[in-house]
Amino acid sequence: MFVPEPAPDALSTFFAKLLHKTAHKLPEVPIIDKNHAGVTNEFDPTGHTRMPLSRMVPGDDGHVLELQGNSEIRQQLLELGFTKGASVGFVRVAPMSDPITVRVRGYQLALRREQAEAIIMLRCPPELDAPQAR
Amino acid sequence: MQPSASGAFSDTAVQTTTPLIALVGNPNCGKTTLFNALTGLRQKVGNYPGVTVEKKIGKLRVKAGVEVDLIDLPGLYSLTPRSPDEAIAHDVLLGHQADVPRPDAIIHVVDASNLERNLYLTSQVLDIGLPTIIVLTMTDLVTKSGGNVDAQQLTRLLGVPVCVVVASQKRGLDTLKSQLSLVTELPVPPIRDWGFSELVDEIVIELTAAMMSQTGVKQPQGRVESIGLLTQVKYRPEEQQRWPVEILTLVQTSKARLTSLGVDFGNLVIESRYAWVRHICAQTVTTSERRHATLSDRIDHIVTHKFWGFVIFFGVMSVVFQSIFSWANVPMDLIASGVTWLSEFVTRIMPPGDLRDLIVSGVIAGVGTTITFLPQILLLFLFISLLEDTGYMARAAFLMDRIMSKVGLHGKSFIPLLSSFACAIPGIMATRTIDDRKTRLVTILVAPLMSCSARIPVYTLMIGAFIPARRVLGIFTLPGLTMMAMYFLGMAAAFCMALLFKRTLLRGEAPLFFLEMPPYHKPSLRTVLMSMFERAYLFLRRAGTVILAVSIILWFLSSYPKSGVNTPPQQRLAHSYAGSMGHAIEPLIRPLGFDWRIGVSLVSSFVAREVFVSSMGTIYSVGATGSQAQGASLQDKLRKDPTFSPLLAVCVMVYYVLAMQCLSTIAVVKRETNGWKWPLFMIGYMTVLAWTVTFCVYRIGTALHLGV
Repeated sequence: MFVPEPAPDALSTFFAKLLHKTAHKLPEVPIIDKNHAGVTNEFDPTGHTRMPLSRMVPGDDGHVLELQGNSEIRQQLLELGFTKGASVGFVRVAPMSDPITVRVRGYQLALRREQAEAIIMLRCPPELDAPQAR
Repeated sequence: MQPSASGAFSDTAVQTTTPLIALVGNPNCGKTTLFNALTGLRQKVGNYPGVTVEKKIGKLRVKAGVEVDLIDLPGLYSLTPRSPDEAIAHDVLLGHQADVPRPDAIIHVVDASNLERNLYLTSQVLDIGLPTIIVLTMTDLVTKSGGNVDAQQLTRLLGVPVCVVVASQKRGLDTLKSQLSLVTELPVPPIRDWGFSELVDEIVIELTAAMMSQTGVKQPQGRVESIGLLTQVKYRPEEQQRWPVEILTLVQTSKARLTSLGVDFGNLVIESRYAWVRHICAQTVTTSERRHATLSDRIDHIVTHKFWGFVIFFGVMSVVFQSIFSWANVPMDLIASGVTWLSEFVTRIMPPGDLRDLIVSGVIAGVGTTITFLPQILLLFLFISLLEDTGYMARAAFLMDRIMSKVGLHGKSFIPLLSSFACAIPGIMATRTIDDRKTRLVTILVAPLMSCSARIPVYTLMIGAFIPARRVLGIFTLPGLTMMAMYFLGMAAAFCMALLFKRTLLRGEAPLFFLEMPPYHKPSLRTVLMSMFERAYLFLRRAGTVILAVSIILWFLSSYPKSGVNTPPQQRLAHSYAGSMGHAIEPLIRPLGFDWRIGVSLVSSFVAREVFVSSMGTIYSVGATGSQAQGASLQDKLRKDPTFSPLLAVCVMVYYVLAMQCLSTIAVVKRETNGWKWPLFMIGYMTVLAWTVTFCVYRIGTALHLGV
């Protein structure tokens, strides 16, 4: 029987690692506010950028920060695996730039940019060895 | 209404009827292959009432003297009843589907190579509380890629038996069957701790208790239903009828309480499921650490390439198109000559009379029309199941989605529309791959506008008689260009109408386009062939009966009332009911420049467009059963007819491009949309469209003295 562990959710684990790695580079003010988990400073020196999934490019990796849109669309995206903190890899773009293919929860999913717009991501900087979306 | 009599814990009584076992799993998880391997040819295919979801039930002998029924539920990612597929699966499993008894157990197929994705559905399936067996497929793929899925650990964690099955090699099937023979003694999955906070749990328990006392639902179903109702954003009409008003109001107040607690219950449930999935995966899956580009990725790189992607796509499409357009002609001609032989044979052995006429011109001709389409249907579905089974279909939809979305369609609409150039019937049957209901309907509605091969005889006759074989710009000929113009007219009309329907009648939120890109794999010959023959069978059984009935009616209309034996054939047709109908509709078609003779042909060619040629042949007395062979002389007669003109020929062609002159298509649309509403709408809109456009062409042509 499964008893859920007291929430070392993927995102906070990830930030903990990140902070550890880049502690010396951090400015005085913590860029991560626990109450607004995941909202980064615009001038985040670690290179993490908040952007909709639709604006990422092939090869990018990142984590889901939040979902926009009405609750029906949000629920559908969640069921597909875009839960908060889930890692998502941007795989490819169709020849006419839409739709796109991403890797989430270990499978590849094609979706239109219009829908990817609703998925707000924290993109990992390319040089950082981000945990791969399995 | 009838929240299931058989809770999971309640019915341990002796089974008197054959146990029913539901087969549940993700799309592409090997579920169909398993179903075919288990049941073989002992399958019954039908539809659930009122929806286009396919209902497949097969029989399976698990050991000597013990049989079970296996119901194959549609492939799905989630049991949240959002699409018709999900709603059916949800309702069958919870015992709400009126025409199916509640299953006694579940076989849940799980793709080991995609465990994280598949286990989400598992979490929902186990909640149902029915005895469950997990069938783990694709373990060979996992091993090949250097990973491992620990099936024993999975059994321990899930609390239900896990069977490793490689259906293509028949490995594990016997173990599965022996498990199934003990179906009533199978363990019920343990109840999972959701990890809800106390306040949230209280609300859920309250609702569950109310539900159990008011509707007699037992545990664990009560809890599943409560969580389901609290999670859903929208309710289907059936669900609003199913539950008493008190429950529905309690659901609303509970939702409000949850919101006031700052809890998005839907999110909470889904996140809790995924947390559980991660927990299971972490303990059962080991993957090889090096993540290199897989073979699938490398193939995809080429197949979805800006240039090569389209080269491959159009290469594949031209093979498909070529095969249904020309290769199918050989067997089609064979069938056609077989039908001719049969009708001649019957004519010879039977004494002349009404019965002979009925059998020859009604039954044999009607059934003959139907089965000549078979080669095209078989070939198209051979390709479609091959493309689907290998995984290429998803890539084709990925490539074409952008273009198709411009007219409100879907990447998956492309293949049905392309196939409709050969024949709308297989094209419409191919729309089953489109998940979104509205998109699928629009695709069905516009598919018959693509110029099918049955229009070719009409075009050839008209072009041959009236379009001068003049060269245009050195390389083109006027007849060739006219033919092309007709094809383009059909395509343009299809796209315009698709856009119109999407904007008006079938408006609604743009469908969400989500498409899994499964890894490529070797197609299973058995699955491909079975799906091909299943289509053919369904076509023959469902469409064939309607076509036969209407063929007989049309035969009756064109041969009654009887004229004297000495009446020449052209007058016999003119004096029949069909002839009277031709006369009757003359005022309607007069504005198009058509006279009663074309009217008669319009009525009689409602069976199939090519009948126009033979019907015109009869009227112009070129022979009793005019065929293309007599076309040449018919062309002369038409040319000599002062009422016929090149403009009129163009009008006839334009009318045939746009009008719904095909009985078989209507029969198939009726079957695919489960009712008469859409086929009748189709006849209506296409007739209006054809009339309007032909009218404009005729008026403008007359005004400008073009080809008069």
